[in-house]
Parts: sequence; structure tokens; C-alpha cells
Amino acid sequence: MRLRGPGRGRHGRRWLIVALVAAVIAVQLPVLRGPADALREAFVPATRLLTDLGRAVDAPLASWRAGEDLQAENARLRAENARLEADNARLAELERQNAFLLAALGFKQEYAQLTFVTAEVVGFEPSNLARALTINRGHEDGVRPGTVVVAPRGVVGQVTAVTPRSATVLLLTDPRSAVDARAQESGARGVVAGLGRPDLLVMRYVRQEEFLSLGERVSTSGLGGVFPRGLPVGYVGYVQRRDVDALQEAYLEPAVDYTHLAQVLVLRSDAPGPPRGP
Amino acid sequence: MTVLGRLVLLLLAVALQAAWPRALRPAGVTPDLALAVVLAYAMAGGPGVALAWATVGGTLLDLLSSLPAATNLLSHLAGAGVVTLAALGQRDDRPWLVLALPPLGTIAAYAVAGLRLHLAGSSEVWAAVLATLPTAVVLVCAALLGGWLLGAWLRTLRRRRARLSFGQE
Repeated sequence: MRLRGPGRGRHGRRWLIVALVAAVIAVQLPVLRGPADALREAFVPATRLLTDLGRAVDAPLASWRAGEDLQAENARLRAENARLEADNARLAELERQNAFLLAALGFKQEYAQLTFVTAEVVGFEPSNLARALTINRGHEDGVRPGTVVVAPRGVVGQVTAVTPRSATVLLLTDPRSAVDARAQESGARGVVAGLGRPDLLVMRYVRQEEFLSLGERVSTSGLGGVFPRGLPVGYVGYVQRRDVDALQEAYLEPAVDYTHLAQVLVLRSDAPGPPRGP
Repeated sequence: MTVLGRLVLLLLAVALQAAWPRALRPAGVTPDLALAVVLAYAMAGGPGVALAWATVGGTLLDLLSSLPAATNLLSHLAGAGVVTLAALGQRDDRPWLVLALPPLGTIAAYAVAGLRLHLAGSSEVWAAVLATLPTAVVLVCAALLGGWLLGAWLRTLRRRRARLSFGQE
């Protein structure tokens, strides 16, 4: 046997509608507002508990979502950082190249008679008793033994050995190097030689009557026909002058920083004769 | 170490020496790693071994160097020769002699290289020898000490691994 309750069948639905309408009307009645408020008050702890519970569940979920977002953000930022670092390194290299090319342009304007090709330094001498480097230009680029190599600041050295695509440059600081030079202000002449140290050159055979001043620029004299005239060699740092000697010596600070050379200029052998000094 | 292993180590030393960064050169001196390896082989082996490895090391460096022909070869032969001769005189009552071998070998190598360059017409070379020799000696000794420590550490690791594998069996 089946019972017919208020929730079942057509009568049930009718009762339900009537009850809802009655409830709505009852809630609006001022008489019943007090009990309704009391009922509402009674629900507050329960709703608070549920709200707190919801927040308690929500917080880890939000944190988890935020963590996921942070991880994604972190990965994105790492990738961005790596890209920026690569860009930075590339820009630094470009800046270095730009500075070199600007200096080379200045050098070219100052020594307009000279023609040259740029070369990268690709290796250094492994022995401590020699000062030399290897460049990426060789026989195929017109480099020959004896070719002069310079940097925008001054003389680097001379090519001693050539392969088709590389060449060995004996630096001016090598003990085997020597170049005839002249001081700019005093006009004193001498031979500048290397001492095997990257930061020191010696100018020998300077006559006692000459007065070299500290900081004076010393340049190539052009004698000998190998090095063009007027290329900076170094600056006088110390003068050794003794009355008993017939000649005096000066120690020079090289014009070129040989320890940080990355690019050089190779003077073309088809260049015209020694240019006019600056 | 096998002959092949020694050759690889020497090649590695030559390559490292040739590509040594400019920024890591104390007082502008490149560590003579190839010479250090040759001296180590000379100290460990007899005169024949020293002669052979000095020839290999010197020739390899000569291929990369701008110095006059055979300068590095003669230099390495001199270094290895002095070390071998000094090692022959080593006795139990003179244990300190082993410490003097690397500096002696380096000084001999530089002296012979300087003489070779002087004979080739470079009179300024002695200034370079005097300027670089003290640092070069220190660097060769440091390289040998570093190599010895690395070898000892590798041997200890190998022994431990062997002991562990024996225990597992």
C-alpha cells in the first residue's frame, strides 16, 4: 500500500506551493519578524563554522594555485633571465667591437696613408720566455712574415710566421723584439726593446745629452723601413741616467695593453711608404 | 698509470698551458703545466722514462711556441735530466731532497731555454728569465702538489669503491 504524502502527486505539489507562499507572507509579517530573526541568529554559528571551514579549505587551495602560478612565473622569469643574460653578453661583445671599430676609425683617420685589415686574437704563446700571439689572418689575407701589427693605441708587434689562415705575431714586449723609436717632445732617439714583461719596455742607446721627461710619448721613428713613422710605442716611466755611462736608458710603459688584446689591425704590405708623423 | 694515460695527461697539460686564461696568470706568468708533468714522470721513473717524456713534452710545446726551434725540447730535457740526477742521490737520510727536485728542474729548464735564446741572438732574455723564474718555480711546485693531492684523492676513492664492492660480494 502506498501513502500519499504532501510531497507526492498533484496534491503534494499543491501543498508545497501553498506552504512556500505562506512562508513568504509569514516572513513579511511584523509579528513573525522576531522569531524569524531569532531563527536567523540561531543559524549564525553554523554559517560561521561553515564559512570558516570553507576558508580553511580555500586557503590551501589558493596557496596551491598560487604555488603553481609562482612556479610557472619562476620558470618564465628564469627563461627570461637566461635570454637577457645572453643578450647582455652579446651586447657587451658588440660594445667591445664597437669601441674597437671606433678606435680603429680614429686610427685610420690619423694614419690615412695606411691600409689595414682587422684580425681577431685567437691564441697566446704558451712559453713564459716569449711574448707572442696568434691571429686569425694568414697568407690568404695578404699577411706576410714581417708584416706590422698595431692596435688603435699603438704598436703591437710583427708577424714572424704565417699559415694560410693564421699568423704568429711577436709582441713588442718579447725580448727578441726591437724597434727604432723617437721621443715626441725631446726628440731623443733610441731602440725600444722588450723585456719579456707585459707591462715594461726599455729604450736603450739614448744619448746623454738628451733629456727625456716622464710621461713623454715615444713613437716609432720609421728608420729601418719596417714600422711606419709616428706609431705610439709607449710612455716614459723611468729614466736611468748615470754620469759614468755614455748612453742612458729609459723604461717605458707600453702604449698598448698587451694582456687584454682581443682585436688588432694588420697593416697591409701593399701600403705606401712611411707616412707623415702626427 | 699506463703509457697512454700518461700521454693523455701530458697532452692535456700542453693544451691547458696553451689556452691558459690571461686573467689567471700570477705576475703575468703562465703555469708550466707541461714541464710539471714531465718533472713528475721523471721523479717517478728512471732516466730513460725522463728522457722519453721530456722529448715528447718539449716537442709538443715547440709545435705551439714561437720560440726558436727546439728551445722547449732542450729546456724539458735539462729539467728532467737534473731531476733524474738529483733523484739518484736521494737517500733515506735526505728525504728533503725530493722537495728540492721541482725547483731544481724548473731552474735548469729556464736556464737552458735562456741560453738557447741568448745563442739565438736575444740578449734581453736573461731579464725575462729573472723576472719570470720565481713565479714559475712556485707555480710548478703548486701544480705538482695539486696533481699529487688529486692523485691521492682518486686513489682513496678507488680503494673505497673496491672495498664497497668486495663487501657487497
